Amino acid sequence: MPARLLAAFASLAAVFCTGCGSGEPEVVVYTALDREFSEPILKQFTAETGIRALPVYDVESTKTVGLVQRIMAESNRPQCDVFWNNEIVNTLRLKEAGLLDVYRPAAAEAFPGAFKSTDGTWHGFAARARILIVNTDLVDRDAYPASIFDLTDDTWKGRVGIAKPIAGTTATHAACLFAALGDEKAKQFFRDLKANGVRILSGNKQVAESVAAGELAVGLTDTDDAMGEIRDARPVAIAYLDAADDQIGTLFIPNTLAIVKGCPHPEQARALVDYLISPAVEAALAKGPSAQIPLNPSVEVPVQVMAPSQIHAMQVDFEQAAARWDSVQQFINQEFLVP
Amino acid sequence: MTRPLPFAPRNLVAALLLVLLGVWGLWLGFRSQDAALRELARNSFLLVALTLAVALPLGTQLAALVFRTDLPAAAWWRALVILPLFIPLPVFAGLWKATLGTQGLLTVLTGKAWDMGLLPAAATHAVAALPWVVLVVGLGLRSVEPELEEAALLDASALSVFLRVTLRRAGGSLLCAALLVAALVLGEMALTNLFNFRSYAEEVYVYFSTNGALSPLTLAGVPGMVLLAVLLGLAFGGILTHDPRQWETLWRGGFVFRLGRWKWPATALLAAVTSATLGVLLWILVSRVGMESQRVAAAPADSQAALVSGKDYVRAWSAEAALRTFQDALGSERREEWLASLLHSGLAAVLAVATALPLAWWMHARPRAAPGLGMLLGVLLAVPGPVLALGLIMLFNRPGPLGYVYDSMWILVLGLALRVWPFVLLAVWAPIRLLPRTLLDAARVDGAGPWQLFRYLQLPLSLGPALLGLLVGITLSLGELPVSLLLQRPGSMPLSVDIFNLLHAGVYNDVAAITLVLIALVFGLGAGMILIAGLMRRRLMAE
Repeated sequence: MPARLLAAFASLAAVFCTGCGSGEPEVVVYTALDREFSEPILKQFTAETGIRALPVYDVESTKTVGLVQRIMAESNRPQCDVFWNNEIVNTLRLKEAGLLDVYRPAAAEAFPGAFKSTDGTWHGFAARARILIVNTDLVDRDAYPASIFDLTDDTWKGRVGIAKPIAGTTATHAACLFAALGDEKAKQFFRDLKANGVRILSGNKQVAESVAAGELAVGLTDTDDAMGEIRDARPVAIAYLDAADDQIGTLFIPNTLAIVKGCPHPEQARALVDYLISPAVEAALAKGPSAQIPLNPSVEVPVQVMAPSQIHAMQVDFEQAAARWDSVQQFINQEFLVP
Repeated sequence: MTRPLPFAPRNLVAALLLVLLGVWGLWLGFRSQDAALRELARNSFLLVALTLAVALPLGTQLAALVFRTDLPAAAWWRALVILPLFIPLPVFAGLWKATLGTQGLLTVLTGKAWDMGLLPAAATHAVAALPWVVLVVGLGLRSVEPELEEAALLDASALSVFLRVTLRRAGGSLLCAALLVAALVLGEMALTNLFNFRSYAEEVYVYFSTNGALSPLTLAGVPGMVLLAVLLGLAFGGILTHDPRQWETLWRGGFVFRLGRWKWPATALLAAVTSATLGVLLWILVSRVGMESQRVAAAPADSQAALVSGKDYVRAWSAEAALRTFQDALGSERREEWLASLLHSGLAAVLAVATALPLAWWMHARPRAAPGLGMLLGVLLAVPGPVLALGLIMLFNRPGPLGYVYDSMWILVLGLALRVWPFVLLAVWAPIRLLPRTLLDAARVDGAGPWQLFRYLQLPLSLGPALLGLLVGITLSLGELPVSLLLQRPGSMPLSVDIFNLLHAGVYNDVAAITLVLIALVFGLGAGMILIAGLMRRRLMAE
């Protein structure tokens, strides 16, 4: 009996210790880029470096904000090593909260100044654009809206879709509009949009799908979601809004990388950041189904969508957008989303 | 001389509380000053009402057919109807989207997608709730005293007896089924999130995830949660104090209603509907798995990237694409995650069974404790999944020993165990309840001490219930979503979260492949449960 008891306890101890760490080097990465796009990159990283990447992917309903809240909640005992955000404003919120570590990878030197921090706390790469997806069966080419403000016209009443602007790139877009236009003009835009019967859906993918299905004529979404519908041979096309020089321009949102201060695996975290910011990864993301836009000038690959160098890009101070986050979210929750 | 009440006082209290809950929900939904709260309350109320309006009558009729009639192969029909309750809820959403979503089969035929708002959310919940209703109502119908029915048949037709005697005696099970469905619908956020329909549980989850705090609207839902918890507690207390003779009837089976000349037409109709439904669903899933896009126009030069559109691609089905989808969807990473999910679910089930079994034996000797335990079960079921997960995060996410639990997989295991515990307790308690109390008393009289009682009586008799409880715990926790979403650990995404995210991201091919495998897995595990339950039943009948 004692032998059986010992065996039982040993089994229990083994089970208890399951998940206590395998001994091989590992890095914990919280990533907001969709799993189907980021997972192959992380697998390749593991194959090349031997460092096991342990990802936590965002949840579609809460996106980056959900991950940021988790990092903030764990700030006393960080679990995340690298935060791979698919936008920038929430990375800046973490920076403002003092939760990011300083690291200056050599590859970051090649990037334009607008897409990297001066203090080395975050690094931008591989961007996407906020665009209008248009149902080509419902809207003729010459009737495409030219500006985001056209969406408040009666022509588009009840025919426009937008994702809930509380998380993800739609929330970032909202914050950037507030920074670029000023509070009053931005609030008026959202009020006019609401008065024009805009359909608020759960995510950018749902907006793209609804437009592709013909339930909506147009919708604000990201280039990768629009390209997904295009590759599915749906009757849709992409329209780049505010492309004229006297308009506010198209918003390009970079992916951002940051190392969490006090993270459990700092050395492995630096290795992962070096890898992700490399030209090879930007090229892979550009060629892949997410159709990202390389920001490193040395990366020369065919781009599936328009790049900032080809159309009028929105000039926005992302730090200002991040500083406005709370007030924008308050407006969104208390006015825009209330029925 | 006062006339006795026509129904038990507990039922009267339950009815009053139910009315109170309904009135409170309606008041919040239509009279509250807060527009956001009105919307949430109205949505939640309508969602439950519509779900019940479909699932309860349909489920009751199905339960009557497969539990109380001489339908050929009734046991197989019972299995077919009940086993889907172990399929993860997001899978139902995937099936719905595959049928009526923006690229769904019926959408292509009719030109109209139907995957947003109240009706699709309620319809999917109703389909998912149907097996629960059939199981709970069926067990209630089966436990009706046969002598009452036989006596009534002397003066009335079979249909009349069924409606006036059987259904009436099983009224408590209808109430239980309704409350259970209400609790499951109100505490769940997967479907409302996927179908873009705001509900209370979803608000709690999204607000906490994006703000790190409880929504101000959370407190507004507390009275409703309390009422629901008390109602469920009364219902479970009623089950736990059920007359042992009715339990025996349940296990042995009672009077069988003859279908007469409707026997074969009913069987044929049931077979036709089932075959058609399963056939259509399988076809939809297989066609999804094998669809792929191919470019027919040349890739644009940089300057022409603005002109790319859907006309540059074409979609077609191929067996090679189907095989590739299965390989990608069930590749080594996902298989590792599935194994991790099975491990977490297994440990959660072990934890639940390890705590439920001693409690079941303790209650076996102390039936008066049943109402208190029923209330505990009611509370656990009434608390929405996101709220439970928040509580665990607040409790364990801190420096010190509790923080070690939070950093490990055990926080997820604990959350899953708490979610499935009520069902595991019922699964292990039911067969133990049937054992005569005199069994242990007789052993004590013969001089058996506590260890001997445990070693030679309780342990062997617990194996069957423990196995049943394990299977119930594993299958239910595999499909659990709210707790899994909030407590998932780095490097291992729970299966239910994976499906949920795939649906959100529109990766329907992978979802279709996973759904096909999951259905096979669930029916396999389910067959195991039915086998064990059948063996226990035969063993208990022999004793």
